[in-house]
Amino acid sequence: MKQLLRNLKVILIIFSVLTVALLAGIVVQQNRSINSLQSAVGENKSALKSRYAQAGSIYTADGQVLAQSVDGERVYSDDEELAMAASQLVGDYTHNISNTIETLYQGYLTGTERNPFYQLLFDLSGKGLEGDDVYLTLDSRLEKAAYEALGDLNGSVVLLNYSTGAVLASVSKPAMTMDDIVNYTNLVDTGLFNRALSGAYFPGSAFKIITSSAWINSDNYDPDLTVLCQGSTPIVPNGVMEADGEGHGEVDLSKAFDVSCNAFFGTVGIDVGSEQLIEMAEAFGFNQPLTLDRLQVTGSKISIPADDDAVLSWVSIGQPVGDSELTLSPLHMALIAAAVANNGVMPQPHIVSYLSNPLNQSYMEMKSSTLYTPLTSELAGEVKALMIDEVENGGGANAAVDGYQVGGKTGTPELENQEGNNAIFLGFLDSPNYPLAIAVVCEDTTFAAEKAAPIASAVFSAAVSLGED
Amino acid sequence: MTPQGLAYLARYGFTLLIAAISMLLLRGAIRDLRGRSKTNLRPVRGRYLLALGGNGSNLYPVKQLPLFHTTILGRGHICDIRIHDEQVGLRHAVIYLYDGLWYVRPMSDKTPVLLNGVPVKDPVPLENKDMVQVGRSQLLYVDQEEAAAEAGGTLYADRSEDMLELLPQVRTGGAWFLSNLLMLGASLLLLLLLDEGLSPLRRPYAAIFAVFYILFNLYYFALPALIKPFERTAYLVFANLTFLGLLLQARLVAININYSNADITTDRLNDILSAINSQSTALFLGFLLLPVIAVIVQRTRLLEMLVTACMVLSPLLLIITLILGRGKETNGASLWLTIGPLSVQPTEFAKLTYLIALAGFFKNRPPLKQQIIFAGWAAAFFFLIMLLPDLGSAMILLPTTLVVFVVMTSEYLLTFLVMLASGAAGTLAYALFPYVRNRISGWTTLWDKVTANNEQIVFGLQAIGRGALFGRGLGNGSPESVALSHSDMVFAVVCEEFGIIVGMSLVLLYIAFWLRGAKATMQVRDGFSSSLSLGIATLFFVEAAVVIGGTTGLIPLTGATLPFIASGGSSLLAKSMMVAVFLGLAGRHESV
Repeated sequence: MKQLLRNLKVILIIFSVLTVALLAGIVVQQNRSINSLQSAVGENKSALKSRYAQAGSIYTADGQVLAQSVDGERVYSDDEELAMAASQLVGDYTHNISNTIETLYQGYLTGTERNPFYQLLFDLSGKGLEGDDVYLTLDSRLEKAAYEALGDLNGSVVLLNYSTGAVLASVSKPAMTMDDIVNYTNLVDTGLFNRALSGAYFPGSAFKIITSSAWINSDNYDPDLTVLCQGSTPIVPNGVMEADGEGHGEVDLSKAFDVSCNAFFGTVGIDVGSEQLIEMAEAFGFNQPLTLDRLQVTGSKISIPADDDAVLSWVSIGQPVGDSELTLSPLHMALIAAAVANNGVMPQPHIVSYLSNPLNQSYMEMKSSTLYTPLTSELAGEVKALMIDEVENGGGANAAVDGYQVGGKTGTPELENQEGNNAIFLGFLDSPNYPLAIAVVCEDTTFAAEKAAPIASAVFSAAVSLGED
Repeated sequence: MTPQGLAYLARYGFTLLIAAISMLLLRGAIRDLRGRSKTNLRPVRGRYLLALGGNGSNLYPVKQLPLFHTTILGRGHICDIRIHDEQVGLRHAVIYLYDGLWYVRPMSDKTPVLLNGVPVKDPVPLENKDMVQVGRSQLLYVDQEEAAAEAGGTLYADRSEDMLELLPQVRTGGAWFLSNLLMLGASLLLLLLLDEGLSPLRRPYAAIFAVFYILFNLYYFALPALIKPFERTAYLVFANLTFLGLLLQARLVAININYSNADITTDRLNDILSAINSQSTALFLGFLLLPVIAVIVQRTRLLEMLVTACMVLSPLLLIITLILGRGKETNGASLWLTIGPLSVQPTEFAKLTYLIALAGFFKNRPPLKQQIIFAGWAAAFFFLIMLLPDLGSAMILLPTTLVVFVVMTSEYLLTFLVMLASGAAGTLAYALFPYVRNRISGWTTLWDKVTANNEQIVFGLQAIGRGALFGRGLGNGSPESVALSHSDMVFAVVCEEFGIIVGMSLVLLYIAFWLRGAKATMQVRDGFSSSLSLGIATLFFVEAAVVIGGTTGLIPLTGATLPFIASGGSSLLAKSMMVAVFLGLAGRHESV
């Protein structure tokens, strides 16, 4: 009997330890699951469907519904064009696209990241299961205008308010219908890829905005400098030349900017030197991480091997060769135009205007802030004048909008792996009522002046006509 | 407020109620065990050994030695009766009660025991005034009851004097009250959730929950009148766990995100009804058998008579399954047997017969020969289990066996060796069975990637994560995302819908049941009852621990199911029968 009691005590101790270990294990494993399992292996679709059954809605700034949950089903805008235009940005509840509002704001939309006190408050009001709504800065009409303006071309348009940083339109083509995205059917090549944020493009001649800035800012700056453009003769061995053989003759900065003279900018690029050119590009946000609220943006890159004037001259005109690197996303392009238009101040871009909980209290409201100040307002004024002149007298003429002053710069970088060029336009509408900056990228087409600039004009016009209504 | 919103709000109530019930029951069990462990070296009344001094015919009483249901005599300090004599072994002889009779038996061939001058080999029943000689000591067995009967009277035994009765009974009123709140509230909530297309289910569901509720309260008050003392704590644990099981199963078959409530078809309604009917039929059959079995076990010695039958039946059930079984290809085991319209899992019942047979072997510290016979029998039994292969049952029965073995025999070294051997057997199983390998590899890669081998645990863990502290509320979880959410992975559903606090409370309920098992083991009047009640309580706890550990990824998943909560009529019925046996055994110490 004594033995039995002693043995029982031993087992009692073992089982008590087991119980404590089990309790601790449950807590540890739950924490591990919350913190790492979701991100490591992804959540399963069936669970996501249930999670989003009562999730909050996603609205545009003009009150259009981009996503909402109705009777336990997640549905997207019934305006198919709008749904497609915003598809890569809004995303889908099955998370087939990961860098999206649906995915990265999941905790808010499903209301699972609240603190327990608020949760109790919502529970008591009977709204505990409802998620929070997300209000975007996007304008559905501009989003559609941008989507339509791109037409059949693949590419991207980003429109933002240069004084607040609010993104008003962000489009990437090709796009897929939401049904196809959710079901992962009828896949279109790169249809799930958000070019506006994740694209990495050569800027082409549009980079001359930064080369000009760097030159005007440099000690060697000579406002009266002229360069004799000799057409297809490289300015240094293996350096830049013009695409056509004629050449622009004797050009100064303003003329060179208008005609996008490679010889001039190659020359001043070499004059500025790679260090100062990179310094200016970094002041504009190259080689720095960029985020759009919770969304990730592909970082822009610049690198130039030292003491290689030929490569330096190519980078100066936005066409990296050899070991050099020069890529940026359409959002960053729009921010560069915004910085010039906004007196040298680059705003922090935002896509989420505010969130709203089930009791209609808004929180996380967008606050405008400065991201970088690459130019002094004086310098910004000079570059701005160059860009306005480009649209009035130069290659960007197709970007003009009746009754408004538009500035911009075209770029037509060449790519090795495709037949056509990319057509790029970055620009702004210089108006206190419509402080708009734009970036247009058209892939595999002809010339920026013909393809990209008219798209900018169309989107600006749409924005202006909205204001006039 | 929508029913879903109400369910979300009610999750706080669930957490509070279930946590409070489990804490109350556990606290009662711990306090009682503490109180009893001080008084449980309680000798049997009316029987004792009289140590005699002197020699030849000149004998005189020296000392009265108390007897316990299992009394070990020897030189060792752990013996109940210590004899300081070089001729006496460390553990020399055992006197024990079984099936109403008292037996004496030497511990081994090297420790001779003389009964009335005749050497004893096998257990011999003792009678009043028998002389037991151990070494040089002469011990007179005295049975006052028999003596009184011989003298033409009956022994007056005032039961209220029993030291046990001096201890207050564990109070369970609070837990009973909260259980009522839980059952009423939760079943009403579930009925509310059956809206729109599901509303035809309300009537049958209400009927099932009403019957459960009435039976629960009826038994709570009526059974203590039939069985004294009635193990109320264990009963409440059982009732609460089965209620949670019924609630969850009723919810799981009816509410599914993939079926819109607005357009439920008649076919689906019928499917739901037949699913819940098969679950509730097993539950109510178990409930109906409960008082019958408990009373038979407490008042008769039918179980003792069944020991031999169970020794034959246990492997037989496995052999039948092996030959006729069909089943879930997915789990690598075929454990189901179809008898007419019924689909039963004989292995579940084999666990009960195994435990009875086990208790038959270890009703006292058996001699080596018997231990070897047992080892052979158990080895054959486990071999059959691994042939099925039913890894889950093996992982539950092996620890249970070892616990009963070590408690009843104190063979720590041997137990250690058996553990080593089972480790080797596990390695062998790993090499032999691909499905064991898959489960292990799925478990080790759990945190890296989803594969076919681990998606069940991964999605289960994600569900546990979604549940956070208070859960998503009844009906608001996503069990559709977890395979086998109604059976193997039901703990994940508990955690998702009721939160982790309720999940932890379940663990407390199972350990509370085990503590009552430990109490019964100390308290019941013979080794067989001790051994069996310990076996049953240990089986529940081990099974729960293996399942919860597996579901949360702490150990590899084995395919066992959470006792009383997981779906499966056979498992539920077999476990209800075990509870009935346990309740009967726990009531035994007064009447045997």
